[in-house]
Amino acid sequence: MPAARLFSNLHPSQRRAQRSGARTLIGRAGRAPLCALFLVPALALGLSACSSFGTSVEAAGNDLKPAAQRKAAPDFTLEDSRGEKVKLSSYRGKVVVLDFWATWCGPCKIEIPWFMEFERELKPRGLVVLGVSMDDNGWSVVRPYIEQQKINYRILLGNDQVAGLYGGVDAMPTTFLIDRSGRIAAMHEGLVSKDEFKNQIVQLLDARADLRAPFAGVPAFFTAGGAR
Amino acid sequence: MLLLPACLLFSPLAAQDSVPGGALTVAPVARFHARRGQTVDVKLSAKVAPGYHVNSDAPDDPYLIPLRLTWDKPVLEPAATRFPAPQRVKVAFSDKPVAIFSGAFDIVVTFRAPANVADMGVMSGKLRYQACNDRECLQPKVVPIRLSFDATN
Repeated sequence: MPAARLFSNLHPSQRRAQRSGARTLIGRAGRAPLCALFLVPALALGLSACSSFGTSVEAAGNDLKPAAQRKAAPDFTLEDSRGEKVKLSSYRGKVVVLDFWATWCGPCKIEIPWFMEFERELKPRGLVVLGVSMDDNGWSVVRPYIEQQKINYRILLGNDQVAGLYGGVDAMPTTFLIDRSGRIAAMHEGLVSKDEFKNQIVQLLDARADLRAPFAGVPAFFTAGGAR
Repeated sequence: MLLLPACLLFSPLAAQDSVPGGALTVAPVARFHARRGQTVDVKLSAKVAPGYHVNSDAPDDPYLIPLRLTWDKPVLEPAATRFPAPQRVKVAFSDKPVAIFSGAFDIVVTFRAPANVADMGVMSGKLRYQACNDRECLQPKVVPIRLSFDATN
């Protein structure tokens, strides 16, 4: 779990959640791999067709890391699908969902409609969704996918350097929730429930920004023209 | 005093494989014998880590990354590669069932030995795969394949 290292000083409940959620699920899936595959649709529909699977998802918890313990999100600049440079720190003052994904990643595709809904509903309250594609083939595969799925949030083309800042991102989806002060409030490796995402995002939107908090590597920036 | 936290803040974190040893492994293949001008079948025994699956060689969905076996400067001609029939599973993210391999499976490669092939040699190849479990997908990876052979008339 490389990305987990970035989030190493987790709140105790979140540490429990990571242990029981991410790792336990893999272990359980190991005993019934095909069963687990069939359960992906059930998870997407918010059902718990298999009680152990449902329990594990719940165990992932709804806790955000306490504000005082959050680390600054590493800053980066990447190009979006329209060729515009996007700097993470330009979203200071917004809550950012930073999702590392790929067109070949099935669980990522389950989350994309949720993120589209969040972008639509919660943008007026200060939410920004940024998808960072880790496709090796670049825009030749990512742009058609954006158009096909009518993705309404900003997609950036990632690279190993940026992934490295966030722990390597060997597994996808890996999603970071960044508070209005530019600090990482939660990290999810692998698919989690839509409700959990939404609960955490709403908590972050409701919280006040600590504008004194530094962004990693840059002077404090406030929301500027870069934000859509 | 100020340098240490700054270093910690900016140092990129090293990537690690989520599955030690990789989600797919291939057992070493014993040295095999080829006859010049004839074909020989070689079996590669692959194993997918518990809980994971890999896309088949023909996964249907064009966005999925297929299992691919390639050879570097082959001294024996790869004439055919036979993958087993995949498992077809319905998943939430695709309209069509997805063709996958899980557990243990064999790939059989047919090589043709040229008439002028040396008495012994090595075939180097790569098996590229992309693995997922029910919650996450891992970056595509490559398993190096090395086959040693003797050749006679």
